[in-house]
Amino acid sequence: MNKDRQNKRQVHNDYYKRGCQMIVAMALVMILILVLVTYAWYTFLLKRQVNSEERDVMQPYYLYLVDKNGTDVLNLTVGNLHPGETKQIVIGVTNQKPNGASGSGYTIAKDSQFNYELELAHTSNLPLNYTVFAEKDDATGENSRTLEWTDKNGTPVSKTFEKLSRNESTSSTVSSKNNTEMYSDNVSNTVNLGTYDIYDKTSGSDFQLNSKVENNNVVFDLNYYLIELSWQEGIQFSDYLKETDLMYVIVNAMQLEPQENETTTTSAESQ
Amino acid sequence: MGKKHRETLKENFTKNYLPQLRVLFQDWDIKVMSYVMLVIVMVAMIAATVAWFTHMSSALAAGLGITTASNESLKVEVKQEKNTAAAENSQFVEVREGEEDTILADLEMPVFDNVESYEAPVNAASGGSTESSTQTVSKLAPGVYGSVTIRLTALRPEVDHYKITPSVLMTYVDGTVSSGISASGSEESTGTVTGEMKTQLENLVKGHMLFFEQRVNITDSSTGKVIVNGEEKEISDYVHCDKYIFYNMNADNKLAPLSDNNPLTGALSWNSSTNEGNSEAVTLYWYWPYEYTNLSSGIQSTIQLSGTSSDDRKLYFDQDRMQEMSTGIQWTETQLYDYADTKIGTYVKSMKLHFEVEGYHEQGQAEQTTSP
Repeated sequence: MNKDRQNKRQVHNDYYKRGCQMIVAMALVMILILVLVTYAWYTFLLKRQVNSEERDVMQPYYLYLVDKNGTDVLNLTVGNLHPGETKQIVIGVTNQKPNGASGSGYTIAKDSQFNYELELAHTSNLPLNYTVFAEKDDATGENSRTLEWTDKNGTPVSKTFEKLSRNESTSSTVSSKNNTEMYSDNVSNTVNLGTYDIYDKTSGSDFQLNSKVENNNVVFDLNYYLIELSWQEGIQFSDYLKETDLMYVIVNAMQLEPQENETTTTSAESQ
Repeated sequence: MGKKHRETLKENFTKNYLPQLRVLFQDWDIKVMSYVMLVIVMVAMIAATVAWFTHMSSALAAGLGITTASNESLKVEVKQEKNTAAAENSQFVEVREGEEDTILADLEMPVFDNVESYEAPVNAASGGSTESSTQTVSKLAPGVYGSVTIRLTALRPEVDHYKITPSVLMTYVDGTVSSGISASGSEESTGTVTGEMKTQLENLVKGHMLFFEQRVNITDSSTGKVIVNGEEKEISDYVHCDKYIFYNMNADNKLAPLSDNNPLTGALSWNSSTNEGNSEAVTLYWYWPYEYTNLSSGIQSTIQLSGTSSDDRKLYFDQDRMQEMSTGIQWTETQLYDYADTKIGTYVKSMKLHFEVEGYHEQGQAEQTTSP
């Protein structure tokens, strides 16, 4: 009988001990959860996020020289220039990657707009007239030219051009700087100095290329120029039979370092 | 049911179940009390937690005159665009929880020559303004700079320091967004910009859009020197543009840009007489260096091609061009930096600056400021 009672007491103790252990364990788990939740909440509340206004990023400059087809890289060749002859070379400036160009270009793009300048650099062995014209639909008179040609698809093209004036101050500065760099202290004794003619405006407006994204397609820009070469008046042609001039056409995007401008325009209308 | 069966059931109950019931109800008072105590402890803990937060927020509510209950520990306000009516009334507007996409900080960016500009809507949503306006703003491009001002106020005395970690969020040209930006209305991961390209861009923007705590005017750049806190320093030691040098006073690395590893930290003070925190306006200056030579000599020495290989190169140089160098093509650091700028400009439509602001307790440590 006593043994039976002892067994019952033992069973009871086991139940009791197990119950206490369970309660303690549950309490510990609850405390842990509460501590974690409290800490997480507290930590969360200590962190805040701040955003600035969103601002567009400027499209980088992509600038290419193309031939009169407008789709191929320019290979500038003049060839022989006989007395009384005038050579006319049509070139294009575009922001669309042409056939044969290296580099990546871009097929996805943002709206873009940037200015550029056209530089005609040549040596001065020959007494030649270098005249540059820019495409202008309504150009007339002696300072205009109209050219017609057929592009590589067989489509007839007609363009009218207007004579440009070089930027005198920039041209002079660049010529002086480049010749000094090239010939050092011997500039005055050098006979074939380079001439660097800078053109950056047509009818008072800066040369500019734009691209627009329309229906997920990029609409690129293409500006045509005409370079006309002729002998100067009154020269003795036989004096220059074995002379050669080199000519370079360069387009420079106006990638000057940004400078602060205090002028801002604000328009507001109350609703 | 027969008598025998009933006796069997009784016997079975007496032998098997009755002892268990007796054990179960033995010392029932102790068991019940244990459960009661557990419930009481839980209730007490929850009550104490709630009471603690409520206590803190009630002090805040009294001090600042805020009628709604708040459990926040740090009040964050931003300086908004100057031309909004809201900004004129109150230059700083609080950014409450969940409002970080509507209350936006002004970039404080000048209008620049030589950078394309456009008409952007002024932040008219702020402050309940009904004014609709536009403003001519410059696009982001190499060489531009500005600042963002954030005002911090501790809402509890134990929040005695802040940490600000800046970063850049991007929207790509295909309409997808960089991680962390809220993508309202834009398509997700279906764009034409590849994941690999996005990884490259996220690295590059860390090295091309730089954040600093201090900005000092260069009065005469021809000398190559600049006066910083009364001391003459080399301009080339700092990230610099024509007009300014940039550095940090309250970050571990004074000359390196602020980043995850080099956050801006500072002290917040508490006015015990009014029982409210003192407001601290923090201005962060941002700058997109125009070219490689605008980086500090320290950064240049870390990433220069003649030096030992550095992971930091991927923050500054175009990785595709870097790979071309293994085929014999030679690029200079300046070219690699410019190509990286081109890549950012080609694939990133827009950017916004993002700041993670954190308040914390730093007991017993005095604020240290040293000249960089």
